[in-house]
Amino acid sequence: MAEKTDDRAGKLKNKREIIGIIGWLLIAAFVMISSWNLGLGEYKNLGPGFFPFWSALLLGALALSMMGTIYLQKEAVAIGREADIWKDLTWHKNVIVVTALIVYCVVLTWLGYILSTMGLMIILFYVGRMKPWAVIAASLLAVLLSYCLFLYGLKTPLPRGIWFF
Amino acid sequence: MDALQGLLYAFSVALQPDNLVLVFVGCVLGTLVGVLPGIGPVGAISILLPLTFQLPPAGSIIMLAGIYYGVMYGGSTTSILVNVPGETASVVTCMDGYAMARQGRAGSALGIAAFGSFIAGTIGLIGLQFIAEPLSVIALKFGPPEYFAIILLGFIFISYLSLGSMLKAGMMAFLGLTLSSVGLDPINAQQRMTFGVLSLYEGIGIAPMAMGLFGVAEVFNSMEKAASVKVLKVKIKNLFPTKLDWLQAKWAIARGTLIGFLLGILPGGGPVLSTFFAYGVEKRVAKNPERFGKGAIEGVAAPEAANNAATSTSFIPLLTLGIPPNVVLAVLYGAFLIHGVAPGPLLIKEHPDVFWGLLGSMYIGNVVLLILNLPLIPLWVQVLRIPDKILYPLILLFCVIGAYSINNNVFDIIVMVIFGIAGYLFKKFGYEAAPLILGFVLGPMFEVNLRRSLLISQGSFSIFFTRPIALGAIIVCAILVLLPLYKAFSKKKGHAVIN
Repeated sequence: MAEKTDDRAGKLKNKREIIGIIGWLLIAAFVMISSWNLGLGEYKNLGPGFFPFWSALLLGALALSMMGTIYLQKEAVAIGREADIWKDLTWHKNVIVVTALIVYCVVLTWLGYILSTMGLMIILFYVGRMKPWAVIAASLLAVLLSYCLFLYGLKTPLPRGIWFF
Repeated sequence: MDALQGLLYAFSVALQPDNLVLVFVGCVLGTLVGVLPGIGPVGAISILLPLTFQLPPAGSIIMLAGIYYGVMYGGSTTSILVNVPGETASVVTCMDGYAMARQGRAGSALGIAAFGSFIAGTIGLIGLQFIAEPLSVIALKFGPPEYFAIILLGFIFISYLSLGSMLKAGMMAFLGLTLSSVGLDPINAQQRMTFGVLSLYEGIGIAPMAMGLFGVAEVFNSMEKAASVKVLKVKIKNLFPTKLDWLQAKWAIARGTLIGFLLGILPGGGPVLSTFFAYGVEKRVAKNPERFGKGAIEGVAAPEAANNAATSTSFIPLLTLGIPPNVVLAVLYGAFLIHGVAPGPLLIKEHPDVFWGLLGSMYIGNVVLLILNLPLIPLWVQVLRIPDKILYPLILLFCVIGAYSINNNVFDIIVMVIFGIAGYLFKKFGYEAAPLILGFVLGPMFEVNLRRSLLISQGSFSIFFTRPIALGAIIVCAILVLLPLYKAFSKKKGHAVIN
């Protein structure tokens, strides 16, 4: 039974590695094509595409070597303690945070620093499961303190937005 | 300028009131961040970098160096009290430091770590002071082929000495090299992989990238975990080591200092490698090696001394050759460039205030940290008790504003978020981000020196084999690349013989 579990964990790890390798190969191929179009030049006068082309080629070559290592070895490649890297983790929180950050980037210059950051902090503190009153209070405090620190303390201009604050 | 004159000039710059305040602020912020598990020196420097934009170059570098030092000191506090390293170089300190804390000897552990770090850091700085200037003179004779070969050696070392898979470290380094190509070509200013985005003409910013990979990614990793760190409930007393502690630890500090001093200069080496090496050496030379892992004071003294000696001497290749030997100094190198200062052989000549001011401030910073670290330990322990649900949103906010403030451009926040996601996935899939940053920072130098070398030689690669320093570096590269292959081949042959 233990052997079956280990074998399953090993296959899961290998599957994960192969997904990663495919990703690397796609990136390498894309960069190589873009660099080729830029021109590699001659050895006495290298073109703008030479360096990224070879960097991507070597990246792809190492990715293929890793693929070879996985297939040639009889046991699974040990690449971490857990086969299931999302086991017992609340990864959906990160999805919420990333979404909030993307929306923040879109609205920052339109809404201004204070309003958009208030919204962001409310979401971030809410994801941490704080009580509603604590979320509002902490967000307000964080926004005001950061505003004062960066605008007045460090003289960093912050976006004002359509309501001029 | 001779060493004594240089030292006097160093203190004349560092003891100016503004710079003194910056040293203090840097050390406090660095220790504060170093105490927090997860956000290491790279994350700390990249997050706090925007605070320095309004400062003069010498002042900003002084503050950033103080942060670097402070993080190293702060990391040992968390290792000893919580058994969670504040940063990678403190991993080894956990082994015996936490065991000592559980035996009621937390004070001795913290005290010897602080004093050992102070002694080793000071000796490292003396080395920096005496080696830097002569090495700069030698480095002036380096041409593009020498720089190309040394940087290539640096890349090989990074992969060779990586804590995880060498293949993966190599891949990350090449990814870094590829990403460094984004922007305008350094020779003929042609656009490369900018996709018409104006913000990419100057390339991807090092600060948002580092913030994303080390700051935001760590926040993502921590937010998805349920548990907070548990601080050991002990009364911390007797922070000053006893006579017996000193007797036991003195040679460990001496050996750790020497190891850190030498390994700090090596590319890819630095504090992390020197701590593991120093611990291994102590265990080997000890009369009772079975004590290690169970509260041996040498197991704390040696790695902490090695850590701080390496922190000082790792500045040597950065300041004299302009080549950052590890990822932290790669980010610091980026900070130098942002402030218009190019580290390298001409730094001492063109910006003596930066070089000597940095050196002087590091001497002062060493003293400040010793004074700060010991009495303020109860305060740092309270910082550890701040709930994650308050701490991590604040760190994220700081990262977001920091990224925006670089160029007042939302694009930098987007870059930071993208690399935050990338850093999170890298960790999940077992890839280290450090080689990526090093590849990214060294990439432009690598490319420019390669192209210049081939321009000089009219396209002939023999230029790298006809110049002695370049040839020497390439021979070492070849040995390091072929050695693992030879070992793998010998192992296979051995298995075949047994079968």
